[in-house]
Amino acid sequence: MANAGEQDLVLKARIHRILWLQGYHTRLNVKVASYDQSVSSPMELTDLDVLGVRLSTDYRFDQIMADCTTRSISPIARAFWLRGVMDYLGGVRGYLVLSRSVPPHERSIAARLSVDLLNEADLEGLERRYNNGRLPNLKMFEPEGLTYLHKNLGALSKALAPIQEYRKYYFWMNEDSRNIFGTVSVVRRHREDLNSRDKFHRALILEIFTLFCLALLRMCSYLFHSNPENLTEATREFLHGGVASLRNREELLRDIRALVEAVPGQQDLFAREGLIDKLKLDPPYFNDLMELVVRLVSRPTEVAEILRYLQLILYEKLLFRGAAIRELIGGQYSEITLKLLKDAAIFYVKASEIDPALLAEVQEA
Amino acid sequence: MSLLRPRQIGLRAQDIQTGLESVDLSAAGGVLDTTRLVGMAERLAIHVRGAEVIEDYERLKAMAGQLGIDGLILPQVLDVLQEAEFVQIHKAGGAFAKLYDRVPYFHDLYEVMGSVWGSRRPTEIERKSVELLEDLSVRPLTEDAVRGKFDLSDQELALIRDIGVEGAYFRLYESPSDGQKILTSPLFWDENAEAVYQLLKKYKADEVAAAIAKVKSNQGYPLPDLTMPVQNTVDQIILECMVRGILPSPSVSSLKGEKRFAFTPYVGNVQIAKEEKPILDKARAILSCVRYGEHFGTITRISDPDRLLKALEDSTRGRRIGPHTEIKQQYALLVLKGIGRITRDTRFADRYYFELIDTGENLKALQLARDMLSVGEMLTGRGYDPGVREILFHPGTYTEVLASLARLKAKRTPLWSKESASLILDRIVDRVREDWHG
Repeated sequence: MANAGEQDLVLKARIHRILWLQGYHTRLNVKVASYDQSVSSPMELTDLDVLGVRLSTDYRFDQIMADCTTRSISPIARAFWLRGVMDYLGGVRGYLVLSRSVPPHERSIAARLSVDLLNEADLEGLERRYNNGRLPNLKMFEPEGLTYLHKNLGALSKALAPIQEYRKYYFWMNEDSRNIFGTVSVVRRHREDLNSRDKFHRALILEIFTLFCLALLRMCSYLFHSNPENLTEATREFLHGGVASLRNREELLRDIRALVEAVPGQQDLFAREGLIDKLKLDPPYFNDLMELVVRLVSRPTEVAEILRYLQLILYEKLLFRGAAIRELIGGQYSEITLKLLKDAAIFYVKASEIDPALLAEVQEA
Repeated sequence: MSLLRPRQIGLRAQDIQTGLESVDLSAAGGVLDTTRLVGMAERLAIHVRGAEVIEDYERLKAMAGQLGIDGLILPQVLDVLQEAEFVQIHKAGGAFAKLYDRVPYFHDLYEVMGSVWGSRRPTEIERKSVELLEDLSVRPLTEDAVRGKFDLSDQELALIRDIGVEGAYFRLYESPSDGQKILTSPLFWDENAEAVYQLLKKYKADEVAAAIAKVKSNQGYPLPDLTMPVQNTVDQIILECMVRGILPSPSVSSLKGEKRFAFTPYVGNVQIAKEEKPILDKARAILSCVRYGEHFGTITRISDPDRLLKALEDSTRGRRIGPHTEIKQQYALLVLKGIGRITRDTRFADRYYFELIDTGENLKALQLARDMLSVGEMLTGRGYDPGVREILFHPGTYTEVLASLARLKAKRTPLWSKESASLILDRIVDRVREDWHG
C-alpha cells in the first residue's frame, strides 16, 4: 500500500493537471521561508503543494494555489491556513484537495475564503469537465514524471547548492525587482560548476531561467500598466525599487566613486585599468534587457504562454524526449511566442555568461 | 581601412543607397555594391523591426521592392542583416521558411552596419565615395581639393562624381564669380553653395570644416555676443555663416536678451527632408529654447538637456516641464509655432509650465531634437516609411497596399562623363582579358 506521501503525490499530480488544463503554468512544492539573523540559510516555514500562475492577454497575473492531503485533518482549519498562504504569496483562489468527506457547512465558509474544498468525487468531476481528450498524455502529469526531476536535482553536486537554494527559497522570498538581477547573477557566479552535457544541470538552468522569465514578465506587467511609453526610465525605477530608491543608489555610487578617485596610492590602478567604470548602477546587460522588454511589452497576447512553453520544454523535451512543442500545444501554438522565448534565452545566456548549450533545448524547440 | 567611425559609414551608406535607389548602375560593374547592400539592409531593418516573425516571403519581397530592393538582390540583403545578427533566417529544404527579427531598439543600428561594411572589404572607389560624402557634410570642396585630398585620378573623380550626381547626393557647382568647380552635397548645402564657396575663399578649408563640425556636434550652438569682440576664428566663421544664411540660426528671447543658436542645414536624405521641413524647423526651435536655458538661464541652468526633452516626451508627466519663472519668455517661440502651450502655476503666480501639444508632428520634432542633441543629425526612423511597413501587416493581400502606394519608379540610367565611361570600359576589358578581380 502506498504511503501518505505517495498518496499525496497522486493528488498533487491530478490537481496539477487540472490547473494546466485551466491555462496555468504550474510549480510544485513552493517553499515559504524567511531570513533569520542567527543562521545563514533561509528558515523554511511551510510549503505549498501546487502554485498556478496565469498571465492574461492584458498583462494581468492571476495566481491559484492548491494544497493536497490524505491525512485526517479539519478541512476548514486547513482552508484558513491556505488562505493565509494565498495572502502571503498573492493568490486569489485556492483548492484544498482531500481524501475525506467534506461537511456542506464547511464548503460555504471555505467559499467565502475563495477556497474550493474538493473530495474524490469533486476532483473526478473537475477532471471530467476539463478533460477534453485532445491533450496528449504528458509526462509532467504523471507522479513518476514529477519525482524524476525532483530526485535528480536533489542528487546534484553541492557546488550547485546556491543555485538550488535560489530556486527553492530566495526566489519566493525576494521582490520581483531583485529576482531579475538575482536569477542572472547566481548562475553567473557558479557557471564554472555547470556541465552542459549533464541533463540535470540543463534542467536546473532551465528551471532558473523559467523563474527569470516569471520575474521578467511580472516586471513587464508593471511596465505595461504604469508607463509603457517610457520603458527605459520605468524599468530603471522598477529594478531599483522606485524613484527614491533609484536616486539614493545613484548618489551612493557617485559618492563611492568620488572616494575611490580620491584615494592616494593606487589611483592609477582604477583609472588606467578602467576599473572605475565598474561603479555603475545599471548592469552591463541593461541595454540588452531593454531590447527584450520592448519586445515583450509590445506583444501582450503572445507572451501569455511563455511559461507554459518552458514547462513543456523541460519535461517533454529535455527530461523525456517527447514530441515537439508545436504538436503538444496544438491549435494555440504561436511561432512568435516561441521566438520571444528564444530571445529571452539568448539574453539570459549572454547576461549570465554561461555555455549556450545549457539552454540548448530552448533554441532547438 | 576607412578613417571614418562605423556610425558615420552606416549613415552615409544609407544616404548613398537612398539616392541611387532608382538608378540603374549595372553598367558600373559593382563599383558601390557593398555600400548599396548595406544601405538597403539598413532600410529593410527598420521596417522589419517589431515584426518578430515573418513567414510570408512574398510579402517580405513586396515590402523590400518598395524600398528599392529587387527580389533577386533580397537574399544578399538578408545575408547582410544576418551577418549583423539583426535577423535569423530559418530554411526548410533550402528554401526560406521564416525570419526572426532581432533588429535592435537600443543599440546603434548604424554603428553595427558600418562595421559590417568594413568587414566586407569595400572597393577603393566606394570607400572614397563614403568618405567624400562625409567630408562634404562639413563644407563643399573644389574639385582640385577633392582630387588632392583623396588621391584620385581624373577618371576616378569623374566616376565618383557622376554616380553621386545621379544619386543626388553630390552636385557639381560652378561658381559664377570665378568659374571654379566645386563639389558639394545637396544633402547639406542645398541652397547655399555660392555663399559657402565665398566663405572658403576667405578662410582656410580646414578652419571652415572645424567650425561646421563644431556646430554639427553641438546642434543649437549658442552664437557669440555680437556686441563683444569674437575670441577665435571658429566662432568668427560660425558668425559669418549665420550672417550669410548658411547656418539656420533661430533666435530666442528671454531674461538675458535675444540669443541665436546655430544648426547645420543637414537633417537626412533629400527626399525625406523636403517632406519633413516643418518638423525640422520645430526641432530646431525646441532645441534653441533648451539651449537658452542651458547657457543663459539666470536663476538655474539646464544641466542635462536630454533629460528635459525626455520629460517632454513622457506622457505620464503630461509632457510638461516646470514650473519655472523663465519658461514664459524662453518657450514663447514654441507657442508661436504651435508646439506647446504655457500655463501659470497655481501656487506660485510668477512660475509657469510648458506643455507639449500632443500631435504626431510635434512628437517627431521632439525626437529629432533629441537625435540632434545626441548625434548631430536625424537617427530615429531614418528612411522609415509607415506605408511600406503596412505591407507586412495588411490583413488582405498586399497588392492592395502596393496599389495605394503607387510607387512604380522607372530606373534611370546615369549620364556618364567621358572620363567615367572610359574607366568603366577599361575595367570591363581588363576583366575579359585577364579574368581580373579588382
